[in-house]
Amino acid sequence: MSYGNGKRTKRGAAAWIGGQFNKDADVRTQGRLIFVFAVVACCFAVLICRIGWISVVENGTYAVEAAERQTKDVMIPAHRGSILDRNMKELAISAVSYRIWVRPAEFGVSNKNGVKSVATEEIVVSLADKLGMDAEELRSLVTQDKQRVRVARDVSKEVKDEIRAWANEIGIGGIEVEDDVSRHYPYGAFAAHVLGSVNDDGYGRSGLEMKYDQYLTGIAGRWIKKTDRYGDIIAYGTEKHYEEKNGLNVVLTIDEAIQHYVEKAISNVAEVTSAKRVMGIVMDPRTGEILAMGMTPDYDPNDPRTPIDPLEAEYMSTLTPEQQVEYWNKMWRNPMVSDVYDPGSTFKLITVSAALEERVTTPTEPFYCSGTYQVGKTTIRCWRYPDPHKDETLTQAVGNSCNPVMIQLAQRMGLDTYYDYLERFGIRSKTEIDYPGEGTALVQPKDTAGQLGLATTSFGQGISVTPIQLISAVSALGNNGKLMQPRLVKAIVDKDGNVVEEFKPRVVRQVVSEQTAEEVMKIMEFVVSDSGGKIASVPGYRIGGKTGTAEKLDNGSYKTGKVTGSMIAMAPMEDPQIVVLLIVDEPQGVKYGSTTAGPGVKEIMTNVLRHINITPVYTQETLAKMQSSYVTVPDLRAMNFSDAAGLLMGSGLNYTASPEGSEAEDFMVDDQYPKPGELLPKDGTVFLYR
Amino acid sequence: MTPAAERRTEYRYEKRNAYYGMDMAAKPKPEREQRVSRPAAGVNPYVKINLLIILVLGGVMAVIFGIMPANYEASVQQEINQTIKDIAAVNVEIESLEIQVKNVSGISYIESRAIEELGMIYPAPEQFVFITNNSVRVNDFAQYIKENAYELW
Repeated sequence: MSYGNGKRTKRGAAAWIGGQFNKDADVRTQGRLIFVFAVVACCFAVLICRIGWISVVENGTYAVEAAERQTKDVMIPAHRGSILDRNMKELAISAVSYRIWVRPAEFGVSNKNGVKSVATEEIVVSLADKLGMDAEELRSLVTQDKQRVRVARDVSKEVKDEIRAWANEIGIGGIEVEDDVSRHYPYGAFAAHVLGSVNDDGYGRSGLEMKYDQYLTGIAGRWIKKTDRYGDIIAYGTEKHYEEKNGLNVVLTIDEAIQHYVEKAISNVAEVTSAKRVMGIVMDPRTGEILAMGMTPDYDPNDPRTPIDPLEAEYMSTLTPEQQVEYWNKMWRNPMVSDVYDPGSTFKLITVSAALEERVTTPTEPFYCSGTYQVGKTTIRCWRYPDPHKDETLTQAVGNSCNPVMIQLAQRMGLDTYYDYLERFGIRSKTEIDYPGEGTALVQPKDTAGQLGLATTSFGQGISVTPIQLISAVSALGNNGKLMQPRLVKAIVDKDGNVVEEFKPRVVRQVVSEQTAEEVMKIMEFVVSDSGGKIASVPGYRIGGKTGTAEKLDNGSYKTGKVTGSMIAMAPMEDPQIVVLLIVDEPQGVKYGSTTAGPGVKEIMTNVLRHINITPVYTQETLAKMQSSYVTVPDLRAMNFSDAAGLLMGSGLNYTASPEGSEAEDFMVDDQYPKPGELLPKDGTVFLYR
Repeated sequence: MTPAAERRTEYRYEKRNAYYGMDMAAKPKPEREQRVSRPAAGVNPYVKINLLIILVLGGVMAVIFGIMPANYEASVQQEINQTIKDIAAVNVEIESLEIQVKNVSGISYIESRAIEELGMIYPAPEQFVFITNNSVRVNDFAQYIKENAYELW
């Protein structure tokens, strides 16, 4: 049976021929369609079953696996708060850096089949070189039997980019980069012993970094997100973002400029005296604020494990790990707060203050120094023995630093009263300065001190105090007799500068009366203007002070030849605003406090008084003296360098060609400093500019 | 008549009975059945073309309303990811530059550069100008210092 003309079309199933539908082709096409449909339907059925199996039966397994693979919990490191000086200049800051991790099992180059090879020595050396590490150290890290090893932290963006580009170029796998926050101290070793440093995890390890760690450390945030294999967020993925909370900023009482002057001065003193160490503190007696605190040798908190001195660094590298830890602890320690020293004659100010307060003497009371003084069976010598001071008033005795007079004053007061004043001046207790690890004075026990102990303590021997204790005690005299608690931190502020917490000046107690304080200040001024502390005088300013030289107790003996020279000074005496304590530990050569610490104090006073805008007041005598020591600078412009140099040498002036090295040629002087006609101190330097 | 022919004859009768009824009177043709004579939809080429067009249109619609938004969203997400990375990189660059600026902003650094490289010196203590409450306000303070610093005497 056939339809139409009975011919099959070329297209088979498409059988519409001559306006008639070819039912035979239709049936075949239908069959094929049904077959295709059946196949597709079967496929779909299988797929649906599989989907059903996955989504229903094995849902739990796959859901967990998917979540594990896609969910990335990223820690957002919080920025550690900054440490600012009193003028809000940043002394310690935090910035984003990177940590480099290596997966030892995957570390190496992959071949075409994706098989990883163990990292070759060349790769290890190259990576170590980029990270500034020792290749052996890196090798030991990347061969550890661990899933992931941190090989470097505090890596800069430049280094990170370099490593990433290098790894991509060669096809090195197993290297991972993680965001981090690292600590930076922009001025290097500046105020290092005040600021302290942080450990590898970014927490305070020493100094104020440790003391105020709870404020400085923020709270890390978290970013839980669905990511693809490259760590990028996937569309339709869920994410949770817990914002990090950055740490608060700590505002110090330190003044950057004053700290700079102190560090410069102690560096000069250390160079001149070749001392083991030099320490300097500047305090505002009215508030107890520490304006500067520095010492040599110091260290760079950016790299706190490496001493700045190359010789010391070399020495340290020879130590055992235990010895290195001991070395570091010693290097990071702040002896101005934690350690004690023998104050020597500077302690006489305490004895005199107590005696005047007790009215057992007056500034004008006459005394006689025979060079020795008998205490029980012991004969104590004055430092001038065998050339005694003879007749002197109390004021002169302080200026002369006469030991017998101090012994007499202490004996008049008696042990109980004297120790009571030590208590009042804060010598027998901690100052409670906001700095970790504060030490306290070593005072002979009252029960065992006896008259000899009392006598030696009165002139600063047989007693050890911390520098911060002494400067706080003496500062009380410049603050109308009120002892202030020393402070290094003024306030805690947030990133916008809003004050979160403020630390206000705290009066500890009234130590002596205003009258006594005034009397002692006059004596101190006498010491600098007319006696042993003259070296620290600065023209135009009223400065008071006291020098001290103490033999150091070493292995139970005071006769080692080692001394501590020191000076404490105050200015301006009409309204004291700064107190300076400079300690020179084990100076070589001349060892007196006046000659070792005195010049340093003068340098600090000169710069700091000018910095805090204290106008000098010159007497006519001072002015005349100053003018007589000046030379008028001649006009050297358009002269040959050799002629200009000759003229200057003839005028008693020095010269320096600028830029450096210009003196090699006989150039034409383009300009000069100071300008022609200016007054320059004799032996002053004129700069000749090419 | 063969049995097969008989069965076909019976079948025809049954069909006729169903069509005409037992009384052999013609039943009116239902409307729906009158339109049934068209060929099957999947087979007619015109229908196939129509179906194809519908399928294509459906596909296009699916692409427009389903796949494209998803693709667009993925693309936007990718841009966001890249932007986040760019911002982070720029922030790191800013912090790095800030540190470099701060490194050279300290008094010690400035002083050493001024003295060692520029040949500058500190004025003598007597050559300083101090600002007091009685000081005269001047417009060009630098010029004022320059003019007065050396005229102390």
